[in-house]
Amino acid sequence: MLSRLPRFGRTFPRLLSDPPARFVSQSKPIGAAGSTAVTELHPGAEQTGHGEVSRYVKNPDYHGFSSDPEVDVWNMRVGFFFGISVALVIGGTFIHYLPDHGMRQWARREAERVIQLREMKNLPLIDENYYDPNKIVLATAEEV
Amino acid sequence: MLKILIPTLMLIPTTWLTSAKWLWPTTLAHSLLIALASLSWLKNLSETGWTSLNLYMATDPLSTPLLVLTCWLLPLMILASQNHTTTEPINRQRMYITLLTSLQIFLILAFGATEMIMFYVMFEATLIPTLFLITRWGNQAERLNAGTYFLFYTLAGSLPLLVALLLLQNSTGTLSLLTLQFSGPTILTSFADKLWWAGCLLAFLVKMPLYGVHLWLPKAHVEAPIAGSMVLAAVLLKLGGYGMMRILPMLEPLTKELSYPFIIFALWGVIMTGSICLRQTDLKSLIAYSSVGHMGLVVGGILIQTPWGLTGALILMIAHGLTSSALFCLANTNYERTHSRTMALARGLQMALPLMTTWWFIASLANLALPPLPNLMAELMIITSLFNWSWWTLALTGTGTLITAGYSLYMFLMTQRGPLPTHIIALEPSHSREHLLVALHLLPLILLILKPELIWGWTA
Amino acid sequence: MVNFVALAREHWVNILVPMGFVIGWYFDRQQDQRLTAFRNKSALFGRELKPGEEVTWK
Repeated sequence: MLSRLPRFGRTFPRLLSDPPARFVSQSKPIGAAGSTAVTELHPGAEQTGHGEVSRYVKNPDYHGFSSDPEVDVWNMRVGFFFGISVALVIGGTFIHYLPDHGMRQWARREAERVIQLREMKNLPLIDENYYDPNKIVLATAEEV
Repeated sequence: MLKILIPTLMLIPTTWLTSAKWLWPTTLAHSLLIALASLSWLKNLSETGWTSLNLYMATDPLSTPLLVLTCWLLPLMILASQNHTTTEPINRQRMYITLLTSLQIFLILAFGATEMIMFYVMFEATLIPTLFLITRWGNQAERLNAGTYFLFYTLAGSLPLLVALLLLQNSTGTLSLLTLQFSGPTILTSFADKLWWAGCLLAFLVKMPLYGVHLWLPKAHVEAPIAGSMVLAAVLLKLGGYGMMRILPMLEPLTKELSYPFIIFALWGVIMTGSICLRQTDLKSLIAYSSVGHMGLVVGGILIQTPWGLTGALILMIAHGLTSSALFCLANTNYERTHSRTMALARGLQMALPLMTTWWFIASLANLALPPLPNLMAELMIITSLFNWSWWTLALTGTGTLITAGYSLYMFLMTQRGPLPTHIIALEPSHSREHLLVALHLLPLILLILKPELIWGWTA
Repeated sequence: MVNFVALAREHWVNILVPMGFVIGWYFDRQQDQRLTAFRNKSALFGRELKPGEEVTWK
């Protein structure tokens, strides 16, 4: 039984190394497909090597937006104006002046004021009755 | 609702009709205006919390911060991908912006939906533009593999959700979030009910991602172009958290017992992914794994289901969205200069780009949760609510935060400090565009310190 | 004048997004109006309007 194993050992590598013609892969090899796609996608990769002329030679005020100096400076202005001046400043102002949702901040301020008032008058901070018991009209025992 | 959706739709014809010269400034300006207009959702005067109602959509304090974050991310993505697309043909650039815009439309529809089925459809629809982004604009051949992982992990996770939602529709007769919250607790006893419970959560846990089903995320992050990484980290992961928060009230009686293993998995994931980060050589992969860690904390906070846990989870989702997106932008600035993501090949950048180091410093501190930032407040709230549940969680969360601080410092020291390697001889100076980009990430995060109740969710 | 026409031809696309905002805002208003369709129509809880009062709630 064990003596057969070496034979398998010899046949298996042969099967793998010498496939019949029908084993031709129908799909493109992944590595090759990827590499062609990469060169197709990024023709700029070569440009950015050491041989490239820096964009600062053509445009010393390069802002990183576009190789055209006019578009570059306008893109910078648009970005900073709408990003900082409009979105952050106006948006921040809008958020700061939002109405107090559910009057929670008011409730907090009011509570602090009431506590101070009650502490000055030496009253307990909170009554055990939520409603004033004198104001609740109950039926007397006879009426019940 | 429509006042944001229709302008976002109109952004697509604007992209295609504007002249090639002014393509990027125009889309940038308009998307920033849409982001500004989206802030009006924060004005919430109603008693029930639901505002800007129409037939299919509404916003409430839970979805509003995520919607505003979505709208804010579009101009930042446009700003970030301007440089690496310049060498492409103009129609490909237009297609790129169109994909980003369509992603924003789907995300708004998903976060604003009042029907669970509409949420589900939009949740799936966001996969399509993201898949295109990864597989068409990625940098290496592995992007195809990453796309397969991304698509099949999330799809396989979310098919049980569709079945579970249809079952829910059958038994309750509605899937509207506005009415489902008033339906009484369902009686869930059989084994099939427990499967239903798992089916409802699995899609979101894969999307979050929970440790164990997170393998798609680092691949997708590493292979995606910068805008894809940004939107994945900042918004798409939050779809999972949002969905969990929405669906958990309906799963009520079973969650108490069944959520234990998931909480433990999430917390264990915080430690494990943190440890992976400590030995990471790839910059983008490090940031991706740190996202998995933070999201683990969010999963814990949501499943524990206390008001503090839910609020902390929402704050962490917003804060982490801005922070990790900023880190990806910074990683991309390195990548565009050195054409390598390996940290060891671009060390000592403080000598060359000192102002960028300032941004790296602030972003790293935000990632490791420095005191006044919302990141810390969120982590504290989640850790406190977990601690309140069981003392032993402190061992996991405490170690997790320690490791988080460790790898954030490791990332900062590796990229910024030390001598400049000798093979770096011609680095471009940092551009105004990149400074603007990072500033637009970090300034809102700092401003949120001043008004945190915007992102408190239901408790505010 | 020619300059103005050239400017309009170059940048007319910039009107699309603000126009979308206005249209969307208008539709939102319409939708909000529809939410008040049954205001004060209830036979049980409806009441006579006080003099000078336009609607029971806004």
